[in-house]
Amino acid sequence: MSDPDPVVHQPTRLRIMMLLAGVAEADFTFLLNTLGLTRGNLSAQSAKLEEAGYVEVSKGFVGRVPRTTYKLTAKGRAALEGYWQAMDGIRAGG
Amino acid sequence: MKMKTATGDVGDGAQQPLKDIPRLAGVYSHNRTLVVLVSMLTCCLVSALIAGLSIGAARAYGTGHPGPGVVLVVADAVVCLGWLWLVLSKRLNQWMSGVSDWLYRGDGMVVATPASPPARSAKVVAWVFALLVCATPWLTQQWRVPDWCLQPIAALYAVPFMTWLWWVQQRHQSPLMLLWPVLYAAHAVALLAGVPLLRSIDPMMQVMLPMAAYSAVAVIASHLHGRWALRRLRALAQTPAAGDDGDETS
Repeated sequence: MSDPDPVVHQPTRLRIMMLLAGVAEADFTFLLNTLGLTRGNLSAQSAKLEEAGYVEVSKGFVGRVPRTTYKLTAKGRAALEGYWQAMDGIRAGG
Repeated sequence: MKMKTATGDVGDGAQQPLKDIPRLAGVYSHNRTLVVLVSMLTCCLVSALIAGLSIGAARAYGTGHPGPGVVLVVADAVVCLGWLWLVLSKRLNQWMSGVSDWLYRGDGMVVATPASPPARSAKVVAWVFALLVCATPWLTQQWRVPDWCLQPIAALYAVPFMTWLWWVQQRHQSPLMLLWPVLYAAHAVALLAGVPLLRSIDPMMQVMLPMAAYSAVAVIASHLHGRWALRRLRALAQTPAAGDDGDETS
C-alpha cells in the first residue's frame, strides 16, 4: 500500500489540484476567489505544485493587465489519481 | 481512518465533498453562458441592420431615387462582407472571449474542458439544417401553408437539430440548455392546439421570435445553474484549516 503523495496531500494544494482537474485552465483570480486564499498562500502553494511538475504556470498579458494561468499537467492528473487510490486503500485497510 | 497534517485533516468525511470539486468546476466553466446572449443580440442587430438597409434600398429604387438606393446597396454589401469577415476570421471569437472575460471578471478566467470533437456528420447536419431554414418560407408559400404553421414546421427540424447539437457538441453544458428545444416544441404544440400565439406579427417573426426568446430563457437558466455550481464549489473548496493565512509554506 503506497503512502499518499505528500505534495498532493496538503489540504490547500489538494484543493488547487482538484479545482484544476475540472477545467482546462484557470487564472490566478479564479483560484484566489474560489479557494478563498491569500495571494501569498496561493503563490507559495502553486509554486510547490509547479516545482513538482504537477501544475503548469503561464504568465502573460491581456492588454496591459498581467495574467497568470494554471493548468494541471498529465503528471499532476496521474498524481491526483494515485493520491485518491492511496487514500481509498488506507480507508479500506483502516 | 483519518490522515492528519499540520493544517488539517483529509479524512473520510472530507473526501467525498472534495471529490465533487472537479465536477462542480466543470459545471461552472461550461455554464458561463451570458456571452451567448451577447452574441445573439449582436446577430439580431446585424441582421436588423442588413434587413433595414435592404428594405431602404428597395424603397429608394421603388420611389425613383436610384442615388440613395445605390448608397444603401453598397452599405448593405459592406455590412454583409464585414460580418462575413468577422465570422470567418478569428476576430469574432476573440471579441466574444473578451466579452466573456469582462462579464465574468469578478469570478476570474476559466477555460472549460473542451467537448468532444464534433462528429464528421456535424457539417452535413448543419448544412441540411441551414438549407431547411432557407427553404421553409419558399416551400410553405408553394404549398400555400397558413402563416401560423411556419413555426410548427420549423420546429419539426429545429427541435431535433438543437437537441442533437447539445448532445454531440455541448452536452458538457447544463441540461437546462435543453429548455430551448423543449419550449420551442411546446410553442409548436400550443399553436397546433389552436392557441393564438404571436399570430398578429410578421410570419418570419413568428418563427424567429420564439427561437430567440426560448434560447434566452435556456441561456439564463444555464447561467443561473453555473452560479449555483460556483457557490457550491466555493463552499467545498475554501478550506477552514488553520494556517492558511499567507504564510503557509509546508
